[in-house]
Amino acid sequence: MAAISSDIFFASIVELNQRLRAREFSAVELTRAFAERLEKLGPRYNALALSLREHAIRKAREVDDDIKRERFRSPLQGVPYGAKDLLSVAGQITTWGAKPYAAQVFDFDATVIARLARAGAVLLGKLSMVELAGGGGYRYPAASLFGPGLNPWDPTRWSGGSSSGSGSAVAAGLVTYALGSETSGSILTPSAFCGVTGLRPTYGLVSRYGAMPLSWTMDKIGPMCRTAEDCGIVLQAIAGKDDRDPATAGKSFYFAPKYARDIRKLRAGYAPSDFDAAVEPETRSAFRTALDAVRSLGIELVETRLEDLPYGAVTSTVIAAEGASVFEELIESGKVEQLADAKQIVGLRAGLEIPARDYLKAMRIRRLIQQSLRRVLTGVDMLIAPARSGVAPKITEPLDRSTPPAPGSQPPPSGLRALIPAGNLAGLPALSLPCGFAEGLPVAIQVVGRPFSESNLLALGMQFQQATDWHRQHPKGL
Amino acid sequence: MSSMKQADKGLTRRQLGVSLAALAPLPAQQPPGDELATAREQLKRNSAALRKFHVPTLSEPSFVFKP
Repeated sequence: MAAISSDIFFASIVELNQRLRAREFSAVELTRAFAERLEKLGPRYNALALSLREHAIRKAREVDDDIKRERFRSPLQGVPYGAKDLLSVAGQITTWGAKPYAAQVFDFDATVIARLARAGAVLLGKLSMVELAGGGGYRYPAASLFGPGLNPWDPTRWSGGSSSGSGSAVAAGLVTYALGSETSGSILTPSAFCGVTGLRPTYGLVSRYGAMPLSWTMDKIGPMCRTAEDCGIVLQAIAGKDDRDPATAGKSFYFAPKYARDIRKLRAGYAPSDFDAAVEPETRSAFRTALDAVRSLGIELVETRLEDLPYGAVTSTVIAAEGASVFEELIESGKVEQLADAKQIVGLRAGLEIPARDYLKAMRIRRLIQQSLRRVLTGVDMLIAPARSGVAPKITEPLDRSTPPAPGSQPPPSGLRALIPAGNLAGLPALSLPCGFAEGLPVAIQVVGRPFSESNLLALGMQFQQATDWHRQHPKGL
Repeated sequence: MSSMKQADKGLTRRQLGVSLAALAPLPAQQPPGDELATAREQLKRNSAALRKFHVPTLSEPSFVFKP
């Protein structure tokens, strides 16, 4: 077999699997090359929580044996990946990114880890994250046992949270794809800041068994990859009913892009102001170009907006109340004080004080939000908006600092600006697609669809990525 | 104690170093009392926003959440 060349580090799942089947290199050789890179560069970006090199090489040997016997299990067979450190792997440390859990070990695999293993995937390591997925709210990117997630495009910038290590590791070519999780923005944000393609599945499509709970009614697990096509492949492997997660919907996902709907027959809602006044000035040109690229695919764009509802207050109340209940023991025991971020500590403490009246009111308004989004998505098949309004912030910047409006300026129309909290409250799927650069840093659009309409989102994503090359670019020197 | 367990479970020195570095104090943190007051204020603002919003009497909470 030929020596492995460095182009493998930024290859897609599909490309790597084809080369494995063609015996250009073995799964063990591929795994060793990635493990070395992950161990060398992972700490540079504070992305690595735990290397599982030996575990991975054992799995890769099994894969080589399968390939030798032409037992082809899935496109994921032999392809290395990383998992956010809130997913349990039997016998290995699972820290949840937080000091009080620094030595925690479970004796079972999370369902998604087990499903990927069955598909022949090779788990290379656990990836760092914001402590407790940031459930109490946090002020600084350094709110993690592993330090601030550093962005491979500019290590003075944050990689986003809470799936920080997953974003950095995919962007730096340390793994081919990663699993992240989202309660409200934790897949979309690091995907956007790191220039990778991230998919937040519909609530209930993917089992959370073996994952750290933060908000039982909002947590989702999804892939962060190089391409929309790769996201579809991973989603097929991890989706489906699981009796150990009562929230799973009993639906599977079959990724069959050739049978996807013709996107020229789809309608997408958008708000022009979202791509202009509502985003940071330096990103406007990139977002306008991206919108033109979407339009050129032939999809019909229709102006729309979200109804005026208290998305932020409902999201904060639901996550704070459920998160404080999940971590009640941690808070009451005082171990919560070991967390790195002062805002996170008091946020969890204060969450225990939320009256039932407020939580119930939030959940009743949430029902109305669901109905409202159903109405919005009756006239269109999907919604398109910037994933984040600016580029990744500096790691030293407080994340809760808001920029005061310029004197005399009018706030931009609300458009779809609340799409991250709104989409999460309604359990809707979303795809983050890299769509250009501003100040040398990636920016991304998000596409949000009806429940279980991942096929439409991926079809749009694949066509967008056939027409553009932003997703193929990677940080200089890596 | 937890550090010993970490070492037993195969954390490298570098990983341990990163973990310990993360424990260094963060810049410009507010005193804990102020932080708690700020967090409570935020909850009050959320609460006020929720109470301002009229919900029809027949609207049930999404207890068993289904998208």
